[in-house]
Amino acid sequence: MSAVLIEVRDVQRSFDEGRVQALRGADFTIEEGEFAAIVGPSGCGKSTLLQLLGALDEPSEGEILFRGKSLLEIPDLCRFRAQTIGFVFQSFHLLPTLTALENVQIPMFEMPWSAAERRRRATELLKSVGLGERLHHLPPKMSGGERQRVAIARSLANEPQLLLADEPTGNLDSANAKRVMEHLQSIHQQRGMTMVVVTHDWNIANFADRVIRILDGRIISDNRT
Amino acid sequence: MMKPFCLALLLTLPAPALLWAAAASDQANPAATELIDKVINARKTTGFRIRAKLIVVQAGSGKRQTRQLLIKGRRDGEATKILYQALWPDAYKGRALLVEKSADHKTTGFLFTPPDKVTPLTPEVMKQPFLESDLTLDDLAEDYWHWPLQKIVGQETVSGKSCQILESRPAGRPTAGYALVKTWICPDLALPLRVHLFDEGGQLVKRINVEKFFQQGTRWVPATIMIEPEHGRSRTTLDGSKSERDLDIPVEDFALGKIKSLAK
Amino acid sequence: MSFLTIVFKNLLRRRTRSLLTIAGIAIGIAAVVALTSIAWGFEKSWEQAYRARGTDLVVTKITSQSPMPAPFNEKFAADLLKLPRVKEVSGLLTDLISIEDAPTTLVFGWALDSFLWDHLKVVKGRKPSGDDEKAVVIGTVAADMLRKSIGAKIHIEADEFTICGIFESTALVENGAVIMSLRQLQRVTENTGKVNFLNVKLEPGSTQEQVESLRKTIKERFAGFNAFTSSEVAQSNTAIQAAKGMSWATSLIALIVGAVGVTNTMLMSVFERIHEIGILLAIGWRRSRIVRMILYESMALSFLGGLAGVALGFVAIKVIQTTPMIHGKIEGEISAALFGLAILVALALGVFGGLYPAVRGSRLSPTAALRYE
Ligand SMILES: Nc1ncnc2c1ncn2[C@@H]1O[C@H](COP(=O)(O)OP(=O)(O)OP(=O)(O)O)[C@@H](O)[C@H]1O
Ligand SMILES: [Mg+2]
Repeated sequence: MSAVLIEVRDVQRSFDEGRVQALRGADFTIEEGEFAAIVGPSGCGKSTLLQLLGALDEPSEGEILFRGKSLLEIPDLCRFRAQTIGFVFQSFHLLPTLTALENVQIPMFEMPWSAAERRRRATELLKSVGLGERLHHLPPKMSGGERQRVAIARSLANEPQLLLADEPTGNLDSANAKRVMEHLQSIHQQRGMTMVVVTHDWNIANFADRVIRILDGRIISDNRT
Repeated sequence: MMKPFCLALLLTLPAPALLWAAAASDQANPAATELIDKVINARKTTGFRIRAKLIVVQAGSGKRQTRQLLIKGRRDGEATKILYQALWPDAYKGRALLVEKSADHKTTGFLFTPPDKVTPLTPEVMKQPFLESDLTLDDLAEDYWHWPLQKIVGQETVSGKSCQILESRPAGRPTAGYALVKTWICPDLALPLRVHLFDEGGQLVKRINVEKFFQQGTRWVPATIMIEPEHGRSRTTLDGSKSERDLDIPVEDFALGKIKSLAK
Repeated sequence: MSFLTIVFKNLLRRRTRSLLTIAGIAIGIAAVVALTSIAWGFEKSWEQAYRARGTDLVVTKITSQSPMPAPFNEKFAADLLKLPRVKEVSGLLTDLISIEDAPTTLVFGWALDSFLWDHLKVVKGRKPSGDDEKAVVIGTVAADMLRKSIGAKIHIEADEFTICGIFESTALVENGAVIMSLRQLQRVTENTGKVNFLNVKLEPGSTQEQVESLRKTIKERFAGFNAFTSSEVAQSNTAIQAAKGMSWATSLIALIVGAVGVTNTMLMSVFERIHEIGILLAIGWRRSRIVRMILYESMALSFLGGLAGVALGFVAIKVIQTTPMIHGKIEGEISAALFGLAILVALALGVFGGLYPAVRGSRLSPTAALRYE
């Protein structure tokens, strides 16, 4: 039994003054070191849930605790995100004018590291995702798989405790998708990092140790393998 | 008749002519009379001295010639004297036009050319140019505002100022070279800003424009006046450099002896 | 990579827009630089004219509306001489006269035995030898403007003078002037027995306080007269005040236009980058860092605009100085202080212009910004 990292307590999220119920009641915990997948059809509320887990958004009802502490009580959420959470998005979300190396360094500005230190860490991270040769490439000049690996390197920049990925393979062909997932899996194994991946694709979900299924804003099953 | 308002315009400061003019004639319509009186009253002074440059620019070559001019005026009751005298360059130095007006608007005077040639102001002489510029002696001596027929014929904006257009016509045959004079007068500034002079055939002969004016004390005065003949080969600018008014210019300054002494 | 790399890369993506904004700022700053320089130079040149003369106080009659103070009886000098600590009083007549076909020229009439002559360096010829001699000395700049050299005749008002000397003065206004004996200028301007300035020299070693107290005494004792110290003469000169006022007003307009340009550019840039700002916020940048990024960008634009503006302004000063109206009368001041002022003004412009866009950008919600395409 490991410790609880995140506790989701009866969380609801609605938009447009209640007209859109994106999340109708989610109640579960994620333990430290877990690799969970959230699966469901399009529009069922997966991204909404992930954003709430990552403190990018606040629930309309209920609350989320991180290591037992409510996110609402955290004074500086930006700082919290920077130091604790890594994000990987479906469409990569890299800055197009910065090189791979520079993109990976962006989150590091919030850490007390020197420029040399930032550079060293970013180089190492890119090497670890197999992009040691692509340090100075600009995102528009890279393939989708390479871009997503840069994004993964960036998500690890500040050594987060939780990695959240929203359809990380959504824009990739199956070969690249597999490679990205293998990277995530090895990161999980090597670092023991807690990871939550959102996907609508069962092949992807199968990489995880636990699958949470959502339909219409509600959790309909939760299975550990 | 004397001091054409042209002059008035010209002069940086007190417009000489205008200054002295008495009330306008009976045949003038009342609005016109009121406007003329307003300008005249704004310009009244006991005497004045103006320094100006007369710059003649040839149309084709753009060649500029400058003459330095001293203009003095004196008023005794309703009678006035104005002396225009060239100071520079040597070719013109000392040349002078003396215009004297009696209280009943009779003009006398003479043209002086050094060393001692004195020409009375006959109608023929009056048509001559002054110092080879685009101003005739008539322009400097005729007082259109005392012509009997004066009326306001409209309104127009000149140099951003709203002006009344005054038409002045002589009774019967014109005594001066012109049969119709249109003056654009800005009532707010009590200053004419544009004059167009027409001949007996109704053709425009000459335009006079105040190019720059400024406020001196409570009065608005012209600083630069442009004279453009309709069919001329040159145009002339009168550019004031200094003007003093409310002076007492001694009567001897207008005597031939004193005029000659400057030319020596 | 440093933070500034991000800032500059952002500016480089829209090169044309950045350059145009820099050009806009540069023009504004150039206007500020040129006008301020001319206004300062103008003031300094007058101040020097009085200092150079060894004058402690200048007394004039209080006049309005005229570029030159009104003339008054020169005997008044004797009354001033009776005041304590006054060593010398020198009356002079100054007038602006249109000479031949040159632009209006400053003409001074100085008593031949006055201390005023002491500071002139006659580079050619001599000063007039007596009150009756119809002779003038002219400054080196006046010699250029009038296209005359020593021995030539010069017509001033109704009279003809001979140029007997050419001088150089530390005061620029004087270099463009014609100087003759007081008696001669009184005669040609029909101001017999009159002067319009009295220059007062105190006993050597007089202190600032003593100058000040004498000034008060003169103002109290002689109604209608005013006394100024050299630098006040420059400051109270209506032409200088007008020049300074004009320069401030024009500068202000130029700066407002510049700031609006910066705001516009930065707002456009923020709107274009809503999505990117969302990414930055999502991966943990603090809002204050977003503010800093946008402010640095606008300050970088305005700093570069400031540098270009200073260069442009210095060129403008040189050009303005060659126009016939100004030539030799004013030397624009080009100093480190002016350079510093211009750069500070440019940076302030960047901060003002960038503040609103920066705050707008930092207030975005990360989820909404990420959805924005
Ligand atoms: N900011 C918002 N304003 C209004 N409605 C929203 C907002 N965000 C999400 N929704 C709605 O909430 C529902 C869930 O959205 P969500 O993005 O979480 O779905 P998803 O499961 O991630 O779908 P997909 O697989 O297509 O990404 C959708 O119907 C969506 O339209
Ligand atoms: Mg989604």
